[in-house]
Amino acid sequence: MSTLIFIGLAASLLIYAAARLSRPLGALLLMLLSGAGVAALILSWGKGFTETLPLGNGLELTFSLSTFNWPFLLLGAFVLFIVSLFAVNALKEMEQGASFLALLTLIGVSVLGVFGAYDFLTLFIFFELMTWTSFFLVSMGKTGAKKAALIYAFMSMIAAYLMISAIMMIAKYTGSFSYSDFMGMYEAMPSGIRTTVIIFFLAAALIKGGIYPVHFWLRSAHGDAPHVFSPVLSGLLVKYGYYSAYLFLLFFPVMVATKAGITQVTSTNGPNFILAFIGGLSIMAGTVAAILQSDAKKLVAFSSVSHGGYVILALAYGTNMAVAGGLAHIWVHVLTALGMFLSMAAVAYRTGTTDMDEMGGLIKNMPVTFTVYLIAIISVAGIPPLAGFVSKWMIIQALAANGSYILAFMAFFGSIGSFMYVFRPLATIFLGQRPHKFKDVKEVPFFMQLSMLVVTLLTILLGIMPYYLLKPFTRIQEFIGMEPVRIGFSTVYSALTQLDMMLVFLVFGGSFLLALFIFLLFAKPTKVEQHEVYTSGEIAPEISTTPEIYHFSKGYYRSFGRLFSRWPSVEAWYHKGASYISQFFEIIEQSLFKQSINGFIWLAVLVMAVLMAVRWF
Amino acid sequence: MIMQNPVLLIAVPLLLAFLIPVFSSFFKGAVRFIPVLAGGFNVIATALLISRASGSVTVTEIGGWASAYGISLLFSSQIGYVILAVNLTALLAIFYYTLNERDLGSPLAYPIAFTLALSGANGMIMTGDLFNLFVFMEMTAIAGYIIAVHKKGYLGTFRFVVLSSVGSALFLMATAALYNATGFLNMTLAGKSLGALAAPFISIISVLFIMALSSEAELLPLNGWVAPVYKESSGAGSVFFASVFSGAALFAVIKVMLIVFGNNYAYVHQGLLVLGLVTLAAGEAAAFKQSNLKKMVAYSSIAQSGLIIAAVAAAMRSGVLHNGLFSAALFQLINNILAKALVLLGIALLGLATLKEIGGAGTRKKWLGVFISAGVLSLIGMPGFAGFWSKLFLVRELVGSGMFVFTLVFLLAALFEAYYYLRFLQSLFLGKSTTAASLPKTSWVTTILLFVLAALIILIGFAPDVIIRAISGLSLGGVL
Repeated sequence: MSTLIFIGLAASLLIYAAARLSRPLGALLLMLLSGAGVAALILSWGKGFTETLPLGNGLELTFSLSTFNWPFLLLGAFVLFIVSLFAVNALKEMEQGASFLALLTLIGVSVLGVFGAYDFLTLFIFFELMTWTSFFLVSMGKTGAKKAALIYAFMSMIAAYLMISAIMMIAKYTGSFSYSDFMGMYEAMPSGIRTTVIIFFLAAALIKGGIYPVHFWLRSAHGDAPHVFSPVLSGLLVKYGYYSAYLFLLFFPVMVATKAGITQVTSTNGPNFILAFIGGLSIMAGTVAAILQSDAKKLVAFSSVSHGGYVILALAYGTNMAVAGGLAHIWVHVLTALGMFLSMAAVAYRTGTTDMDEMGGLIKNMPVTFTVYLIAIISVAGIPPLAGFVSKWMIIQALAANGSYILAFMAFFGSIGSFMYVFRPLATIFLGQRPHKFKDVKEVPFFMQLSMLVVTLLTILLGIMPYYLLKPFTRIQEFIGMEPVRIGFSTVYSALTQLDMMLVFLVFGGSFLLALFIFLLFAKPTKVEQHEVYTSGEIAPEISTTPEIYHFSKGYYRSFGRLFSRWPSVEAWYHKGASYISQFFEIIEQSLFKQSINGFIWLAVLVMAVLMAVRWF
Repeated sequence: MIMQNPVLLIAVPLLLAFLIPVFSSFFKGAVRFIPVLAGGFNVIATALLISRASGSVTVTEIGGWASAYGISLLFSSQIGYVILAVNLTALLAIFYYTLNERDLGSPLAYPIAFTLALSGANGMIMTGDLFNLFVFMEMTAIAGYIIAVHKKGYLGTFRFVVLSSVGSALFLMATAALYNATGFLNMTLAGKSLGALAAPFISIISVLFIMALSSEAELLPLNGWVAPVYKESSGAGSVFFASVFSGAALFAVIKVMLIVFGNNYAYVHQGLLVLGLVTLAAGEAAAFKQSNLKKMVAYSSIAQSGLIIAAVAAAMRSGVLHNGLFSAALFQLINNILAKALVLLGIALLGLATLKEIGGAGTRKKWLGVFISAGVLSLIGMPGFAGFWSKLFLVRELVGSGMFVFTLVFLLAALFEAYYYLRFLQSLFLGKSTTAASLPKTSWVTTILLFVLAALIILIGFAPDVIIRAISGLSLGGVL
């Protein structure tokens, strides 16, 4: 794998040069590279290897491909493949498209290193590579992107430094950085140190995964990043947080622990319950905040917060059904994040905006984009027969079967609340009345459609045949010694009941066909002018409409917003804290570095006196 | 063989500096080439000395006088790498001056000052005698006064003169007192005879030494001169301050601490540890608010000096030198010397002063942008660059020694440092400039200079092996 990393590094230069000649060429090269990665990973299903790259002086980097990280590596390659396919057309107007593609290749390299690492030093090195490359990529967006990128980098560096402290503590007690030594010495480490290490890593995972309350960087970072980069940010980089949580909540402890009682509920274990509760809070906070957004991408960003909550809730809960559901939900979220962000990017490509209040009626112009978005949101809301339903079903099964009603309520809240927020872009962007300025908007070019349709197809297929979604994760469960969830080709068996997705799909499909049949044969629709549908010809000046506009998408959920207007906002706290720190720094500069000779001499005398006095007394 | 004598590193530039006015009267080109000659000789001589040196310190007694009566120079492969970094950046700065900045007023003053500074810096690093250290400190300080006056930096230079003089006076007092009490000016011998002296006396002396050296080493409390001087000085001048002077002075502080106060003076090192950490925190805090680029780098330089001193003090805290922490601190010193030089040269080449003015300059001059990024990313500690390894080793040694408060302060400072440097890079590549000034053209030779530095940083970043092996495993054996 180290050769792959060097190839990736060289490829980034090559892709930069190619993209300077012609943007689509550079994107195609990246697509071929990541497509080759996807193919290679699928072909090496079931195989594994470990590889060491010595750096001299006792330092070495260890890489590994094995059951436990195969799904994540595949996820990385897949996201890059889809996004670079999309980017073949989408980067035309971007100012620094060549640097964008080169940095994206470097992100691919860093993801390879992060997910493929088998020791903590490698993990950290590639995590930092990921941080600074993604910092530049986020900065390339529209106005406000630079501030967003700085907040994102700041939070990522906090996560990085938490990790490096924990890693060095591990190195001190086990004498090396590798995962296997850590697992070997896991029981022997002093429990205080072990707890600190786990807390630091989990805190870093929460920050990077965008979980409440350290989620506030997500909104501006996803919202203001370049449209082509937001899918990568949400679909891939945030997954590092989930991967880290997976390692420390699941992989390490269970590999080490005895095999007795694996299906027992672990949520009664205090710390795990706290973490699960944080996940639940994140679900609810993300859902509510998403409902209040009026920018499409920021709305989807909060949806990521909410889904991160599902993953953390499930992984912290610990029963085999919950774990399998949580891990599967990672993949489901990848698909839905790609679907939603790519369709928003497609809309922005043609209309130049993501502000939902400005748009409407684009279903007539962009039917493919509409379909992609529709399938994505059906999956997000957890509606059968798509993939989102499978993972959410499993999580809620696990919660309900073990009697955790509060957490189950939080999970339901997320599902139901998501109906509200996913519907808004659908209604405000695609349905309703189309503004005049968007009359001639066309559907997006071929490659962009292709990439979106691949995602849609996968969402549908994995929903009908959840075997392909769940098999990698049940194999992980076997690998680490947990009892795997029983799955059939399209069936999932839980302790209470079973779910047959093929049956669900047939029922849904059959009902849809029946309804279509009835509609085509018997219903005689009457065409009406659009304004007649909305206001029966009445003008509503208090909502500042003009006679032509009857599509009320401004203030869509205003009454809902009033319900939550006085709730605390973590983002506001962060900004207040930042301004306090800023003022404090100003005071330091004024007092210690003021430019006057008297001041300097007094300072020198003061320091001398303090130093001597400390010794004397 | 004559080439094995490290005194040449001091003597040759000194001689050449005095020859500049002599030659310039009949050969105008002398002014341009002699400093380059001095720098080049030093780099090559250092490389040769390193190849012949070992891990333990060799003492060269000048003139054959025994240590108690004469001046001795210390050299080892570890010291050699620090000298190499200092001489290399001095050479690059001199090249830069020769190519780009010959309009700095008096055509004689700057070459003389650069060459004198080179000699003095090498002297400060190598000397094993306290009064000799004072002499070289004065020499570099005077050269620094000349370098600091660029086009209009008179007030800043004046403040520098005052503070530096205070430092020098304190140093002279401390040296005289020590000489009087122990009868030795040689560091090793004086350090060995400290045991016979009263503890309050030792504490006063140590405080005086720390205060004295803090001026040129950019530590609190005598570092108020740093920011305005960096801001007003020329490109080559700021590189001299950041890399040559501060590197040499820091190493001098380290030497005095280790050799004179090495045997179980925990309170000295404890005090210096606190001072270093406060400098680190204050430096990063002040840098955070800066919009002038050179001042930002100046405060960052202050903070890094504090970090290095704190790390060395922590290594000495328990009375026995903690090798790992010491080598990590020296590695950080070397990385800082290289990276600061790169960043400052890059900023000088852009010719722009503030964050707002610099907007988008990196896209107009791509190579310059890449080189500056290499330096900045190394300072932040990103992998692929040298600074990553030094930060990693520092954290490892600190956590390994259980120094959690230090680690916390260090990581917090690094966090804010990353923030403002990343903000700088953002402006460099993605901003919109508020001035319509066109960027000065860069000759290909200057580009090669920057390329050398950047390549070195990236090389160390990917293969830190050579440096680590040379730096670690050092003991100041035979001297301590």
